[in-house]
Amino acid sequence: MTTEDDIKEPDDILAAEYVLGVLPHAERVAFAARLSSEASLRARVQFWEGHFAELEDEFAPVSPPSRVFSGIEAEIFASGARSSAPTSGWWGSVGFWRGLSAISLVALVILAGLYSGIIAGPGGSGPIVAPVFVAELSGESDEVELVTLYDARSGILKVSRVKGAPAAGRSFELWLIEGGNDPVSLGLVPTGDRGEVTVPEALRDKFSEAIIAISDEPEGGSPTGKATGPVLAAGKAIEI
Amino acid sequence: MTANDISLLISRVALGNREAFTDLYSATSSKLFAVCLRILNNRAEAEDALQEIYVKIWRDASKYAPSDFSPMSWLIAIARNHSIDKIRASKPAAVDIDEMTDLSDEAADPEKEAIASSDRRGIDRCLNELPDTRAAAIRGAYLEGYSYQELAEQQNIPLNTIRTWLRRGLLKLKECLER
Repeated sequence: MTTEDDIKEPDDILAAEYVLGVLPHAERVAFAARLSSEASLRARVQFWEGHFAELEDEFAPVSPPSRVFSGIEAEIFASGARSSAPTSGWWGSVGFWRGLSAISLVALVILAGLYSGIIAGPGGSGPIVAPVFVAELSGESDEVELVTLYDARSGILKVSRVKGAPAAGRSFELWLIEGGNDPVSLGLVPTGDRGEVTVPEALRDKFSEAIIAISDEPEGGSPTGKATGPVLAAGKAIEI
Repeated sequence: MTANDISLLISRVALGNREAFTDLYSATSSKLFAVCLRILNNRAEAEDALQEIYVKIWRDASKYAPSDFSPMSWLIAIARNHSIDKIRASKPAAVDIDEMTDLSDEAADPEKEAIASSDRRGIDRCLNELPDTRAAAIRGAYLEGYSYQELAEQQNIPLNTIRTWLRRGLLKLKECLER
């Protein structure tokens, strides 16, 4: 049996590696995805960030050129109408989109309930529920957001796009990251707001505790079988 | 400008105060630009990154929670994370890195521990307790944004053991910081 201490130590060191920035990209994204839901992990990150920042004197200040601030102002205050609060205007509001994606998640949970159903077992020995996993994929940039619903019984992964689309000539590719393993491709994100992906047979029982991520790839998917472009969004598969 | 002033500015930025944002930028941008330059090692990319970082600070100011640590640590973390995401995404690790194995203790260096226990504080004191090469690797990762691959080359340590090697250092560092 694992005690809390057993679990805390590697996470603590993982947090240090994350703060230092030495983690390989896929692990970094997977760790960042956990941060949104694990307060104790955020506290560990803050511990390391706080202590390492004591080295800040070693970053000798360099004044940036004035065009940087002009660029920032142009981006933040672009439409005069939105010059006050960062959250004013529902269209530009991160909160609005977060809310929307929360609504989608709720909708999907309801859908999942209907979809997986509760099937009475033979001889009425109680309900058998096929595992269903929901993952909400988001990234640092807030530009891409997806919700996925996986039904282990059918091997179908439903993908619902909340925000973001690949650029012309590019595709979004879905990845499954199980523990510290390399990401394995689940296929391309279907075009359109909603679609389905048939999960390869070998991956069908790997969703528990896994991270689902999407990366930006050349049209048709990564030519190498590994993610070649930046990971845009990631989230943990939660069994419902 | 004191840590308290900066904390206050961030809180006002969270309320959408444009003037506070301008003041925060004046007070902190040269430090964050230095961070971007160190890690990205390219002026044009550092300028782009700095712009993106302050847009993020404007949008995320409401997530700032004052803590025992300096508010600069929150700003620097945003700058470092953004810069490191950029380099890691553009240069994915080519080779697998070792998983954590045994982190058991190595023989301590009594002389170093004696020096370290003098009057130095915090991170400097604790880094000083580590073997020199490991302290240098941790500093290099923090200040220059080195990856495991780069650290392995610099320290002349096989890539498949560098992670365990560095993690031992981080574990000792943690023990010291928590003392």
